[in-house]
Amino acid sequence: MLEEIGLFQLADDRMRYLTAQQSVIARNIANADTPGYQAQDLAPFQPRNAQAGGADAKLALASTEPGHFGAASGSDWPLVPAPAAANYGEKPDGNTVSLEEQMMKQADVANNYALATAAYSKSLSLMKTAIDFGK
Amino acid sequence: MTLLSPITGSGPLADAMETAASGMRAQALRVRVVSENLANAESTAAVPGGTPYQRKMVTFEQAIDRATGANIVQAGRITTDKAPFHVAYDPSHPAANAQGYVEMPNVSPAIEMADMREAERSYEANLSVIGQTRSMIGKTLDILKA
Repeated sequence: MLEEIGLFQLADDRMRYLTAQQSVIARNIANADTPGYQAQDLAPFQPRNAQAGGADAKLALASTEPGHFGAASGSDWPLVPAPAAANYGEKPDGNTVSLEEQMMKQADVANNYALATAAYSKSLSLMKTAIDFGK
Repeated sequence: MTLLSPITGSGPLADAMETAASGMRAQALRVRVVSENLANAESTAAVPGGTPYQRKMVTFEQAIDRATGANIVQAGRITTDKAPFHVAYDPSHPAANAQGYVEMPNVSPAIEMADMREAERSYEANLSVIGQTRSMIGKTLDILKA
């Protein structure tokens, strides 16, 4: 019911995106010392109604096992290799994860998630006010 | 579409927890290997001309957890360092060869210290991921209270 209201849908999408991003950051940090690991990132955020036909209309590979290709990322936003920033280099073993960069990204995710949940509960209380007023 | 269900223990946040925990396990193993090396920094052979303790090394590799589907990191095989041994002149040592030289382990305390610091740093980074993931789950649950 609430998903049909634009405000809730946007906050919902934003939260999904940020949780997916958090799991990508977790993967990068866990692999900070894995030889040859390339840092990953998510494609920039786009609300679902802005994507052509919506995310559900997209053709997706069927997956019957969690390890299947296409199911691993488990999100509506594609994984992309993180752009090689000028400040952060590659280690001699071919690993491109920079812990400092990941920490900054993580702080960013925390702020944005706080904003998204606050927006969601604010919209919820707006809705409650409207309902109460009708009594 | 992925379901956001932190309470039931599946979804991206649960995956993030699993991944960070695996990273901490791997780093803890690395610290264990460092402590083994440091403890054996002076372990020579017991017989004249024998080989002393060889430095151990651990490498990491990516894997997928079969139960949860989360991307995890795990330690690969523990290998030994092929670097040459240090040689010391000590004719009275039980492991000294005919010329009076003793082969000492190829462990360098400075390298082990650097390795330990790096493991500590990565461990803390993984810990901070767990902390933040927990707080995100908490914020999601806070919507219920609104």
